[in-house]
Amino acid sequence: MQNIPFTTRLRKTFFAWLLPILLCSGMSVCWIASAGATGAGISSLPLDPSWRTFARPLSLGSEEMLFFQRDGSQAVLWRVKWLGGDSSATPLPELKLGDKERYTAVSTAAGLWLVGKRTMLIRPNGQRVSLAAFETGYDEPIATALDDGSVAVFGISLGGTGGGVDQLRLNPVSGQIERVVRGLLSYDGRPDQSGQTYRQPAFGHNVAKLSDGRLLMLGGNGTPQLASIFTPKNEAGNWVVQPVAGMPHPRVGSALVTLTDGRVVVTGAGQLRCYGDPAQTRSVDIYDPVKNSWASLAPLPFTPCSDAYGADRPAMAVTPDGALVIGGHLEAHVMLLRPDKNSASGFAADWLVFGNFEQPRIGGVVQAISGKEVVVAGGVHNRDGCCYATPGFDRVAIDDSAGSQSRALSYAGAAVARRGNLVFAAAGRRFGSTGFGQLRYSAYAELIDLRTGRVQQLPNMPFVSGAASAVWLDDERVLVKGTAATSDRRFSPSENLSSHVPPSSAALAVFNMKRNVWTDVATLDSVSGSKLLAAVAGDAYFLNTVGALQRLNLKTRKAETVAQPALERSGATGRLVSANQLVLVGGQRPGERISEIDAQCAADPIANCPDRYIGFGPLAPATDYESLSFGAQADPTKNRLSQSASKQAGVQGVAVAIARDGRVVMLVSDAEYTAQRLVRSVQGSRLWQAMPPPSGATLCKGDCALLLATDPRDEKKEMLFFRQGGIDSVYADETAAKVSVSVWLWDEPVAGQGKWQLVLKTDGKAARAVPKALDLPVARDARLMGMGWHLDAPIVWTAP
Amino acid sequence: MCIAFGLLLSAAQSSQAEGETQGDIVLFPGTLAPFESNAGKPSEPNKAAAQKYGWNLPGAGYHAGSGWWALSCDAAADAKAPTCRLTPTNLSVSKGTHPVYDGEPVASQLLYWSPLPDALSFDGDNTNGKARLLFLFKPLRSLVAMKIAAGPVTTYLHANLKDYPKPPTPGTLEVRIPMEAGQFADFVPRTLPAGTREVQNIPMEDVGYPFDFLELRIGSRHQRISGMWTGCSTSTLRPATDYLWWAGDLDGDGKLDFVLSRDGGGHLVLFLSSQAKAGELVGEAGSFLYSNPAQGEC
Repeated sequence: MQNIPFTTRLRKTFFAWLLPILLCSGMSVCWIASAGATGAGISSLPLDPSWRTFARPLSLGSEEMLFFQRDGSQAVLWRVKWLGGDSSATPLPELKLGDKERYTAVSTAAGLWLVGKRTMLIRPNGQRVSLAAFETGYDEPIATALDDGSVAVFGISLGGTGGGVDQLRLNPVSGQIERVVRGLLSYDGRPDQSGQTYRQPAFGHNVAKLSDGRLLMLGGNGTPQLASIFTPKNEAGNWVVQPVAGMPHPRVGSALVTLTDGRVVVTGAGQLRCYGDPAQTRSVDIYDPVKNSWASLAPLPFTPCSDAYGADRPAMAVTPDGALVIGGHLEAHVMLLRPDKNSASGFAADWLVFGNFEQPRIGGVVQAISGKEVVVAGGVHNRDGCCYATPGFDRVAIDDSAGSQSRALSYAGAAVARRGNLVFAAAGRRFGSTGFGQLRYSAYAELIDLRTGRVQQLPNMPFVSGAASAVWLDDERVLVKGTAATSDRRFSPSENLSSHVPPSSAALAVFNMKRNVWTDVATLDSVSGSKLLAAVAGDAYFLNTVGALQRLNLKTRKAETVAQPALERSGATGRLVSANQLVLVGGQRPGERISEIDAQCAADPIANCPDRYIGFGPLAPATDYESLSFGAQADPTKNRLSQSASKQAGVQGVAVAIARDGRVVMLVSDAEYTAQRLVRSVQGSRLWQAMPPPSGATLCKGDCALLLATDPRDEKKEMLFFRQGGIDSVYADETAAKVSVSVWLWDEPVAGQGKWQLVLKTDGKAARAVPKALDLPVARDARLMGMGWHLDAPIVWTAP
Repeated sequence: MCIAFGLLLSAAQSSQAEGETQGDIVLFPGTLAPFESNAGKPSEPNKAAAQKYGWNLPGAGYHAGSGWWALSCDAAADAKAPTCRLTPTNLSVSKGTHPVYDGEPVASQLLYWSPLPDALSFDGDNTNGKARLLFLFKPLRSLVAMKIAAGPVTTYLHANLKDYPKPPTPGTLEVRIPMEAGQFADFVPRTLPAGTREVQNIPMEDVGYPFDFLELRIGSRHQRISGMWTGCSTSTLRPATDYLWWAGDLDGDGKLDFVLSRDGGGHLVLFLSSQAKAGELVGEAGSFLYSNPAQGEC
C-alpha cells in the first residue's frame, strides 16, 4: 500500500466524486446518502495493520455497519453494507481528532451523533453541526439514543466527584446542539457520602434503553450491583431516577441488550480482567422491568473479559430469531444462546461457540445480520507485544453447531478421552497478554468423530477448570475430573505464569452422551487433589499427590487407597497398565522412608503393629519406577522398584512414558539440561537400557515429551512418539504458532534394533488441534493422521 | 553463643569414668586427631608414625594406665566375613591447652594410646582402604572382669565395610545384621506422626531429637534405642554406616552387642547384651559424649 494519507488516497479514487448511491434505510441512516456531497466515496474498508479508530463501530439495523477510522488527526467515516459487500468512505474534516481522542457514535432520528470531549452531529441532509459551548470532557462516554432524536450522555465521576446525566439535542429553532443538564450521575440522584455510601459510578457503568423509552443504568466501579431507571422527559429539570432491584452479579464494563419482550440481558465481569470467581465472571443476568426482578441465564463457557488497551467491555446483540450473541472479548469467537420457549427464562440451557478469528476483537461490537450469521467488528488486540486496533470485521456463521475443527484441543490442559473413533474433549486454559497476563479457562466441551471429522458441541461443563482429565466409563458416559492449580502461578512444573491463576475447580462430573446432559457433579475431598487415571468396572482410579492409587466407587462416592508406593512420590507419572497393576515413574520423592509409629496400635502392649512407611527428608527428583500389583488378584511377584535411571544427584526425568506392557521410557537430564539420555526399562528387570536419541533432536529444555498412542492399524499395539517443541504448557496463540514442533515415531521391527523416524513437522498452534497426516507410507489406502500433540496421549487415526 | 558442654563437664569430673564418659566402660571414638588440631576436624595424617594422634580434652580427670582395648576393622572385608580385631593398648596422658570458641584457651589433657595396629585410619570419613580404628574402651567396676581377648572379635557388621548390606526394606535406612545360625537383627529407624509429640506409652525421653529413634528387633522382641539425633539438619536421617559403627559379640555371651553413634560423631554408646535388664535385648554399658568447646553449636 502506498504510504500516503488515506484521505488523500480516497480523494484520488475514481468514485470520490460520484453522487451518493446509497439509499436511505430510515431516518436514522439517511444522513450518509447526502454525505457524499462533501466527499463520500466507495472504496474498500482498509484491512491493513495501520488501521486506527476513534470510535467503536456502530451497527445500523441488521444490514449495515459504520466504522470510524483515524487517519492521523483526520476522521473518516466508513459505511459497510453486508448485502453485496459495498463500502464507502466519507472524510469528516470538521472533526479534528486529538491524540488518542475517542468518541461514542449514536444514531438517532436527528442523525449520527459523535459524542466525546466534543460533540458533532451529522444531520440526515449531510449538515455537520458541532457543539461549541459544551465539552463533555470524556472519551467515549456512555451515550444512548432517545426516541426524540436526542442523546442521553452518562458521564463519569472519577474520584467520586462530578459526573452528570446530560441530554444533547438539536434546537429546532437555532439549528444548533444544546446541552440540557438532567441530573447527577447517581443511582438515587444523590451524591456519594464521603466514601461511605457509593451511589455514583466512577466508570464502567452502562445504559440500555428499555422498550418504553426509559433508560436502565447499571453497574460501574464503586456501584457494581446497583441498577436504576431514568425517565427521560423534554421538560426542563432533572430526570426522575428510580432505583430498582440490584443485580445478582457485579458488573464493571458490561454488555447490554434489550430484548423485544422488554427484558434486558447483561454480562461482563465484576472487574475488568479475565480472572475472578467463575460464578461471577461467566454469569449472564436478565432483568424484567415489569417484575422488577433479575434472573440468571446459563453461564458462559468462556469469561467475556475485555480489558485491553482502552477497551473496557464486551458486546452483545440479538439475532432476528431471538438468540443472544456475545463477542468483542479476548476470545476470537462469539458465544450464542438460542431461544427456548419451553424454558422459564426463554433461553436454552447452553451457550454455543462459533468462529475462530485470526485476531481477537477485544472491545469490538457484535451485529446480528441474520439468524445464520453475525458480524464482529472493531476491537483491539495484542500484536507483537502491543496494542493495535483490529481492522475490518469477521463474519461468523452460526447456523450449525457442528464444525470440522476441534476447539477444545486448542487449549492446554484439556480433558481428552478417546473411545474408538470418538474423542471427548473439554476444559483447559489459554494464556495471552494484553499489557498484563490474561489466563482464561474453558468450560467448552465437544465430541469429535474421527470417521467423519465432525466436531459436535456438547453442553458446557458444569464447572470451570484450567486443567482436567477424562475417562470413558462405558459407551455412553465420560467422567471428567477438574484439576486445581498447583500454585497461584502454575498447573504444571514447567509453568511459571506471570498471571494470577484463577480458581480452578477440582470437581467431578459425568457427561451422558445418550441423554446429552451432565450428571453427578460433585466435589469430593478424598480425590480433589488427585489425578484421574482410569475407569475399570464402574470404579474410577486416581493417583493422589504422593503417588498412592485411590479407587472411587462412583455410586457411593467413597474412595479407598488400594496401592501405595514404597516411596511417596509427588508429581509422579502413573498408569494403570492392567486392572490390578500400577506403574509409577519419576516425580519427586523424599530421600528416605521411615517406619511411622501408629500411636493407637503402639498403645496396645500385645498388638503386633505392622510397619507403615512414610517419606522422610527433602524431596529430590526420582528417576526410578515402581510397579505395584494390588487388589484381590494382586501378584506380589510383579511388585518392583527399579534402579534409578541415573545415579547422579540432581538428574531428573524430563519426559516419561509408561507403555501398556509396563515398560517405561524416560528422558533423563541434568538440572542444567546439558547432558541427557534416553532410556527404557528392561522387561522383567529392575534395570534400564539405553535408546538412541531421535536424529535431529536437540537438547530438551522442558519442551520434549514421550507420547504413547494406540496404533489404529492394530489396537493391540501402542505407538511411541518423541515430540520436540513445547506445546503442552500454556502459550499465547501467537507464541505457539512460532514454536517448531517435530514428532518422531519409534520403529522397532526387531527387538533391540529400533530407530526413530521423523513423521511430522508443524507449528505449535497447528500441532494441537489441526489434523495432520504423518509422514508414513500409505497402507491399504489409509493414511495415519494425528493431532493433539500437546496431550499425554496424542490422537492418531487412519483416514482414507 | 558457644555451648562449651565438654568444658563444663570436665571441670567437675573426678575420675576417668565420669565427664565425657559414662557407665562401666570408658569409651572413646576412634576418630583421633593430631593434638594441635584436635579442636578442629581431624585429618588423615601424612606421617602418622611421626605424630601423636589422640584426644585433647579440657579438664584433668583422666589417668594414664593399661587395661585399654582398641577395636579396628578391615576396610576390604565384605559383609559376609567382616573382620575386626581387638588390640590391648595403654593410655598416656600429658598436659595441654584447648582452644575455646569464644574465650581464652583452657587447660586440657592430651590422651593418646599405644600401641595401636599399624596403618590405621583415624578418620571415619576417609579410610583410603586402610583398617579403621572404630573405638577404644576400658572396662571398669562391674565390667572389669569382662572376658576380652586380643585378636579377632566376633563381628557381624561394621562401619568400615566396603559392601555394606542393603536395607531389608528398600528406600529405608534400616540395617539387617546377620548373626550366627541364620539369625538376624534389624535396626529400624522409626518416627512419630508429624505433630504427634505425646504418645501414651512412649516416654518423651525415649524420643530423640526431633522425633525419631531406632528400634532393635530380634525375632519377635523389640527394643527402642533412644536419643538418635538426626544431626544439625533434622530433615534427613543418617545412613546406617553413620549410626551403627560396630555390631558383634564383645562380651562373649553369643548375643548381639553393638556400638551406636547417636549423632554421627561425638556421641558414642556401647550396648552389651550382658547389660540388658529384664525385657531388654541390650543395656547401655558405656558412652562418650563430647561437645568441642572450640566449636559453636550447629
